[in-house]
Amino acid sequence: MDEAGLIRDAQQGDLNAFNSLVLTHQAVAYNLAYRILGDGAPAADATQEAFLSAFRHLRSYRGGSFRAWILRIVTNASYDELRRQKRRPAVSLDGLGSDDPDAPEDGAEFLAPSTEEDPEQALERGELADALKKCLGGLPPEFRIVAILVDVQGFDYAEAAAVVRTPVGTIKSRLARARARLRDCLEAHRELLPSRFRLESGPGE
Amino acid sequence: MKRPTHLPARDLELLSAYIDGALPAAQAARLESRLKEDMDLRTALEEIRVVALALRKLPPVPLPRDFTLRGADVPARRPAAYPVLSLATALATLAFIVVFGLDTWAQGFSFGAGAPLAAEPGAPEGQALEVGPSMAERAADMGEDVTPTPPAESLMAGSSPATPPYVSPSPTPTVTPTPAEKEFDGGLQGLDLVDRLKIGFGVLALGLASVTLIVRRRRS
Repeated sequence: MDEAGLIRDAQQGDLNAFNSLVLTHQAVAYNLAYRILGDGAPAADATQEAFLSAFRHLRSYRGGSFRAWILRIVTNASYDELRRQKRRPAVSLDGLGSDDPDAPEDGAEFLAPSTEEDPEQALERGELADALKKCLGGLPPEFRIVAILVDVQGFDYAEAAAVVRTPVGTIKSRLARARARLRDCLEAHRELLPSRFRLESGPGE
Repeated sequence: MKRPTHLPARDLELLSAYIDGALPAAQAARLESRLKEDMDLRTALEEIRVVALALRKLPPVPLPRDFTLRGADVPARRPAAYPVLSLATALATLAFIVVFGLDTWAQGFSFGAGAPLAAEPGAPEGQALEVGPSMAERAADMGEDVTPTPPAESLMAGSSPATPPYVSPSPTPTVTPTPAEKEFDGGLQGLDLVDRLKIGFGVLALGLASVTLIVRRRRS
């Protein structure tokens, strides 16, 4: 069945139809939450909460991009989680480690391993993941979400604007400023950057 | 040299949009001619491009689990009939209150004003005769100066041509039968329209409220 048909059935309370939509969008939803929150467990909670909320409020969906509608809910759920974390400072964004002993090393799940890479490349991958994670986490939320949507998820400006509910011009402006700030941040973590990502110009040059 | 963050905001936006191929052709051509001459601008462009490239190289994070919902996770949704039943209950209750209130107000108004009303033309003659004295008695009890009701015989006969026709001080044009008469007539036959509406709306509101509660209880 096409997406419109699934949405129609789900709006009538058909859980199976809604779960088909979940299967289609859960990867991008979880990835968005993960990149906003920087940690797997709260990202999973925010994603689950977002899908529950979406099912409850499905009647309020009035057409347009369903993916953008879902991701807007995921974004809001992630921001709620961020606010909860701020109220509980013991769980900070910098505490990127997991309680799970089997969880991958810090940053390793941020960049998925390639089956063909050698140890040096794996190290590069982890270092870059660390640097990007720290820098993305340091951006103001309104810049971070735009950088994630456009640069990480590959959305075009219009769809990013639909998710964030701002004009395309604002998306362009925020993206430009986010990239500039990330550039400065990555320069500050220059020692973490693999050589091929190291920027030619340094401070004072 | 200028860092991207030190560039004018307009140039920064142009470079960023240029990387994404989001600039109109004319604007892109103007920027390209500036890039040929301005080394700082060119360096800034490369720096922004590297950042965008690094972010785009991030592969998707594998899902930790499936996020499909189970029936137990989802709170039961109230059926579509529930809002309709709720609205119908509210409307029936409102109608009952309006009819009851208007009827009470109308009775109180005509009763309090004490304005004598003409007997309904089609009403049986005896009705005016039955109600007249009781109103006078009630008014007398309240200390009002009320002209005594003429005897029935004089009214029936029309004793004097100079005498104005008798006007019944009945509070309502029609006369409500006594409870005994209602019972005798059986059910609603002895009730006037307002009473029937009151009973009808009241029963309807109670019935709808019961059904609504049952539906709600079954779904929660």
